[in-house]
Amino acid sequence: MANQVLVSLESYEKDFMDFQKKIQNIRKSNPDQFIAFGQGKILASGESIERVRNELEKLNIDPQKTVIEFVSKNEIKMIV
Amino acid sequence: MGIKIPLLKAVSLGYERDMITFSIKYGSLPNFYANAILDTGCPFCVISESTIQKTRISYKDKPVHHRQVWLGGILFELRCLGECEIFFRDNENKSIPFKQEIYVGIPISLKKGTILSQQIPCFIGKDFLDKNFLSIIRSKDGKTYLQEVD
Repeated sequence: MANQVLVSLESYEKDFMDFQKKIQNIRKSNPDQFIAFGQGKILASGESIERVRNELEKLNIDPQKTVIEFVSKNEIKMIV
Repeated sequence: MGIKIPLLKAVSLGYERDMITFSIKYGSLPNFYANAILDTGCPFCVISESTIQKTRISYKDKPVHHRQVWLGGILFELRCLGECEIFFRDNENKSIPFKQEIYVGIPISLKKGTILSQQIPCFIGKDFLDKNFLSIIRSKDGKTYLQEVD
């Protein structure tokens, strides 16, 4: 169990950092969409998270282990 | 040696933040994975609504812990998922489990589906750091850790 979590955590972290590197390109290609990202590429995209989740399930990819982020056309800046 | 968890330098809401990836186990359901801003100014550990929507966890019927909480000009309600088990990856590549009260932050001042409401991140807050005696440590080599300090 702990090992499975570790493997999935490593994979999620790698995908998250790869997504960070590509976000500006994704902002241009898929503005204002939810993006599921893994293995260095967009796995699914759509205007709602439900749609992306359904697309991933069709591809036999677990949405719960996948980086899914909303990418806006214009970058939002906020101090929290 | 105590707990030492590497943090990520990543951009969220337009600026570089101290971020972390983690896994959450809610009840008997399978773990789900998320990223969060490490925020000493946030009192709670909050999962964003878009993150919880990756799962099929029913969260809208959970008790409201705080009815009106402002975050960056957005009004939220925090619904309590209860105590979950969360896992981080440490510097020796081991998974470290913690028990933590988790809230779901649901924006209520924004129309559902607006661009800002969909980009609200998750937060690992002060409650987690206090409970586990963890601090954000910056080393001179440029790396940042969440670390247990005596």
